[in-house]
Amino acid sequence: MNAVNPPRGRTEMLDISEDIAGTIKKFFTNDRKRVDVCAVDVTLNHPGGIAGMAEAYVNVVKNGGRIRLLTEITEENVDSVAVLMKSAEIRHLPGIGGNFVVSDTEYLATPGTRDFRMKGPVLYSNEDAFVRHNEALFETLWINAIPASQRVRDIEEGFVAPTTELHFDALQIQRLYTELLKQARVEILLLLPTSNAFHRDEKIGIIDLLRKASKRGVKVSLLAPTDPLIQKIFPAFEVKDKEKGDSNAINYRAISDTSSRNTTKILVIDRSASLMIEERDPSKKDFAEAIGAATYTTSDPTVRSNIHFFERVRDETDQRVKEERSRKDAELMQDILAHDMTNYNQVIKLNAEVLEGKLGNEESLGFVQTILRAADGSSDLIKRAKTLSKVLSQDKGALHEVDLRQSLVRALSLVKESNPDRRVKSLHNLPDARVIADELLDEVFVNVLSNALEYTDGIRVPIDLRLEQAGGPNGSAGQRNGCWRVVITDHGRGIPDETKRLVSRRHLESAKGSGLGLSIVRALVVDRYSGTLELKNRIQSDYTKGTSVEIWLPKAE
Amino acid sequence: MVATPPRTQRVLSKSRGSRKKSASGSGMASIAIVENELNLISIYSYVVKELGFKPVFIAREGEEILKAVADGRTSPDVIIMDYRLPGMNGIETAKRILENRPATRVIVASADDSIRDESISLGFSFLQKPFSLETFAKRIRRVVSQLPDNPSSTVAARSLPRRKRSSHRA
Repeated sequence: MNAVNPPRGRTEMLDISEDIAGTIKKFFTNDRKRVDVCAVDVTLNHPGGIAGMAEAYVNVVKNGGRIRLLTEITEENVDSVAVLMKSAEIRHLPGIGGNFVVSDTEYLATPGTRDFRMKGPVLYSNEDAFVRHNEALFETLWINAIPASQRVRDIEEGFVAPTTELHFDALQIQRLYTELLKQARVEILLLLPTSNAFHRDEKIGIIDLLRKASKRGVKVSLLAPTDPLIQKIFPAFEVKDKEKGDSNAINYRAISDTSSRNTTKILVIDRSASLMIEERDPSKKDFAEAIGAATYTTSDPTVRSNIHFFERVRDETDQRVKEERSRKDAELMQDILAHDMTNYNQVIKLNAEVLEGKLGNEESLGFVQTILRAADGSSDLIKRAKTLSKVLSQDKGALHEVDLRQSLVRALSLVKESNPDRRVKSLHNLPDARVIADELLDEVFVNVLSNALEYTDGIRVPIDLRLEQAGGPNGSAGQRNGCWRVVITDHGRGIPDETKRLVSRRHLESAKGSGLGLSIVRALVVDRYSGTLELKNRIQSDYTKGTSVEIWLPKAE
Repeated sequence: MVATPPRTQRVLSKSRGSRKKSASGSGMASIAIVENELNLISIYSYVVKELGFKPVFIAREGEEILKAVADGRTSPDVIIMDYRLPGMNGIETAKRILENRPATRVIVASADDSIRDESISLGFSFLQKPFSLETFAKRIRRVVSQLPDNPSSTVAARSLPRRKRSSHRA
């Protein structure tokens, strides 16, 4: 029976008595427009050797045909490939496990073996549907393969082709995870997105493996959110171990929970391979239940990308820790400064007052009283600076309904108590009003009222207090509907227009011209409570006749 | 012309309560001062003496007065206590003293407003720095007047004039 020319429309196992290589060779002798070959290897050990194979290819090409060859190109077969490349288009596909040839009319498959001299059955078909099916299969493999020229160059240059594998089996992923940790020789970078991931990994022995790696001299860096249990179980897992000089310690940083932006566990070994394990359900306690697919790769761009991500999270953590330390240091410094300055003011105040009692003339008394006023001013400054610092540093997330009228009454009462030698005469009839603010609201009015006292000469201090709804009788509410308006008007020395403009600037900039009091008011009203603040002259054309401070605060629904 | 007699003279006039029998039986209310700042120790001592009380012990650390009380070297009726002290803080020190001497009255004098509520809830008198001489004197008198075996409900501080404003302006 002619193995290569059976009647049309047949598919059969040919019980050939001749060797398989010879059969394949015959396949190429027919006139072919196209022959696609998928071969386990091309180090052919058949009659005629590689030269014979090349000759068969050349025949096809001479007759106007086209040869495409898919195979795994290795260091061992690269020379053979070079010969075949003269007549065939060749691509590299690692891991090919079978041999078949498909032309425009026929299909031939041999057992997946490298021994072409063996005798055995061959699957043959010239059925159109069968041929088309295998053509499609070849095309799929072909488009996923690497051109031979690139592969040959990589081999010549000693380039090791990267591997990328996708794994779905939890047990297999766990095995790969632990094996990689055991294989690490230089460095391990491990990012766990949640503290739960830490506990799961701890249960399957990952943390022990990290410790062991660290003990054998591998530099281990671990990023994971912390929790009380982690702190309790691993009190030594801190950067401070490094600082203590323990070079084998795991370099651990407690990061913020990254699950909102990253649900993947990232492991990088020796900067040459990485394993990314998806957290399918981060709430699960069991490793197998929690994880999804995993990707293992030695692809340099991917590994570098993972290293970059790891280092970015680490750097952000370091920056956050640094900022937090700086903030705490600044707060501590400020606290110590305020405390010690208050003590010095106390010394000045009591001594000056005692001295005041011992002086016998009015001129000397005047000097002592100046000292006392300066000490009081200094104490007031400290208090305001502390308040402003508190306002600027506190999170404004905790705003709630506050009784505005009560806040005004408390502030007025406090200012009167603090200034027993002044007669504050306030005209007010305040309606019940509630706004969205917090416990710092009193500071707004204490500061406005204190300013009124400070800038009013004489013992008597007339202050007009008004509280009205936006859209009230004066019709001035406009876009501020939904706000309460507080107007505090004094008869003091007034605020120059330039200073008023400064107050409209943010935070401390305004303090340059107007002192901390109005900065506190602005920071609270505008920045914290989303209200508005306006400073006006009591008498429009003359700022020296007093100031009217208008504060608009959002109503509580 | 001599200036108006400053209120200080009246503020610091001897308190009648000072001559009442103290809890320690010495005949005069005894006051200890626990304060880290030397200049404050100096002026507190002066004021205490001027008010007619006896500054019996001065310490710059909490442990120092604790030891002195434990040793019996001092038994103050009143303690003027700073809060931020080296080592043990003022409130902790005061609590320890009161464990053995519950009749002792404590005035916590601090620049730290955050301990006001705790101080008051523990039954201490709280003075926030900086305070005036008048406030200080009034507070000491009031606390002394409340000593258990001091019939000093009659020892209320004299009505003190308000501070006069000088015509002198800086």
